[in-house]
Amino acid sequence: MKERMNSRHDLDQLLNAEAQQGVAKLVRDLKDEEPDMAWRAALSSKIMEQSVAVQRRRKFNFFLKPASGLALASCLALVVVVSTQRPQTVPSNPAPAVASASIEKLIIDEHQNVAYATDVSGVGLAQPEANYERAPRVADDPILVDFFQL
Amino acid sequence: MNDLATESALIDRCRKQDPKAFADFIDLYQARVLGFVKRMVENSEDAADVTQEVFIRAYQNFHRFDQRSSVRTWLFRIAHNLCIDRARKTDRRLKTASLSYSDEDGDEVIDVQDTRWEPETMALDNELATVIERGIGELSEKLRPVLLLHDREDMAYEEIAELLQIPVGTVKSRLFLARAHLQQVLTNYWNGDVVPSRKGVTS
Repeated sequence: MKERMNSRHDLDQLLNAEAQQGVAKLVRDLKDEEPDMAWRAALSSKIMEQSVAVQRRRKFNFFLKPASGLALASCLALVVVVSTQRPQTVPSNPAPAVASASIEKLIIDEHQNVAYATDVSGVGLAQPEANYERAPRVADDPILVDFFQL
Repeated sequence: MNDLATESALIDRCRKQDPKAFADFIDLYQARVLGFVKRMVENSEDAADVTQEVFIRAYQNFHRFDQRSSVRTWLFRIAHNLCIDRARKTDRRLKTASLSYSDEDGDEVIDVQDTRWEPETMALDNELATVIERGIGELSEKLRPVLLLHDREDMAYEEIAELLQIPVGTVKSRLFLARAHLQQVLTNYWNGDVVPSRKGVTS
């Protein structure tokens, strides 16, 4: 650490030496050329081009920022609407299955009633007078047992 | 104080990308930046192009200038970076000073013999200026910006360290080596070993 400090101190001393300061003075006294007018004019025109581009960008941003905000808000609204409708559509799917099952049952029942009315009462009886559901079942009524099968 | 306030107001206007204010800013720095770039880039046409590029970049990015460093440091950092880029693009092999050194940590002990020196006998005439310019041109990519920023732009060691992203000790050692090289070049010239030509110096 002490060596480092000494080294730095030595370096400062070296830089402040007469020879080093003499070179520094000579370098400092070198003359800089002023840029010519053509160079300056070319630079000014380039800066003006940049300035126009900057102004155009600012105008674009002036419209772009509200438009992008509006688009973002629309997207958010759409997401909200879709997410709120989704739970209603999910339970509605089984309902048609239930409805179709009940329709099938009604059709089968109707067909059984018609067939029963035709078989039991024969021609001439109005179908509503015989009801398959109101008819006694074979197993329950001993009169209707088919004795030939026993 | 008044100058500082004026410059601060000018910088504020430049940050708003006011082209008129930036024209004043160019007038303030153009000669210094062009001088720096000319000494960093070999070709004078390249130097003019690079200097224009420096100011265009400054104009484009002035709104990002956060004033943590001085505007001069910021501007010369742009200039330095563009000079390095240009040198690499043109694949320029920068001649290095014939001095052995190691400046990685800035704490090395430098062993360069001091040569006999008589500054009072030297007047800065055109011929001598040519010799010095030639000597600066011979410096390496590492030594040259340190010399120019310290001895031409009068920047502090800390400011140069910040600009070049190197330790302060490295700045000092590079400055010492750059000056030592110029000292050697001038001594050779003084002893008649180097004769300046019309365009520069021939050995």
